[in-house]
Amino acid sequence: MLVIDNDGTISMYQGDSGEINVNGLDNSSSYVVYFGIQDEKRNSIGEELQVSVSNSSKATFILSSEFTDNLVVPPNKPYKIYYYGIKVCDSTSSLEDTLFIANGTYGDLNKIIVYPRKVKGLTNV
Amino acid sequence: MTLTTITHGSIASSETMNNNFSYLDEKINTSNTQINSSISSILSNIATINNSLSELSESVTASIEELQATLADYKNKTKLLVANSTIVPNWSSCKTITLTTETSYTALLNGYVLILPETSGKGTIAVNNVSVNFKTRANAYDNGAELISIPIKSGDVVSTTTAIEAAYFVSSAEITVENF
Repeated sequence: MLVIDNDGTISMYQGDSGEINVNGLDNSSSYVVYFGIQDEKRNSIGEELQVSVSNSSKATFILSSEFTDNLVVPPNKPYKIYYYGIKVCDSTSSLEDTLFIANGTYGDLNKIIVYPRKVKGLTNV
Repeated sequence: MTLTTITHGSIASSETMNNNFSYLDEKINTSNTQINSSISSILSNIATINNSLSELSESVTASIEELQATLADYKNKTKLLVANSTIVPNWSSCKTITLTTETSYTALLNGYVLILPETSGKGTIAVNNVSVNFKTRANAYDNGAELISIPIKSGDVVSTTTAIEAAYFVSSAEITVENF
């Protein structure tokens, strides 16, 4: 499960799955929406997720447990902070916009606070 | 880190072997990460398509409901129009009425007033005070030749200045438009 605060900060356990919805897209256009995660050194974690949206106002990202398993928490830390971004690319005009999350602005960091997993579960055995 | 090729039949050092294993381990991890990301992307696309289908389904359902309401409204209006604008005589209801130069007749239903003027009758017949002249009747056969039929609606008042031999009212049949 993911918890998303009003400021867009996501909290989760490593290896948990969840869903992130991006609302308010212009449903008269077609987009490819990207979701990327970086660590504190701006290294990409895994590959960016991409979703094609056509004539819909909502894009949904499914963060599988295998995907979030890449969000590693060092053994000596209670949690680790990663950073995420969402970019909307218009398929017809080729315009690309990185979204401001929760009324954010340039320079704001959108955090993912990852806590060490407590249970291995199905996919991390 | 690169993969070191070991010549067939030669002896490889444990360092070379370990480096090769490390190389392969790194490649497997990278591939695993890419595959997991791809799976998440595929799942995300499926979820987004599901959203679109739900939105589309809701939109279609709303359009159908709107269309059904509009159709029902048109059906009712059409039924009313047909019922109110069509007068079909119900002959089983035909009855004699009193209509004289002194007594007018007020219709209680939609229907027809049938009037047989007297021979040589002269004057007018009026519906709601709108009158038309009768032909002057000089011969007996004029009566037989002309049974006057006037469609009227409920509440209309029929009056005459001509002597009437007989008058009748035939109400209109009730029009029901079912399964329209």
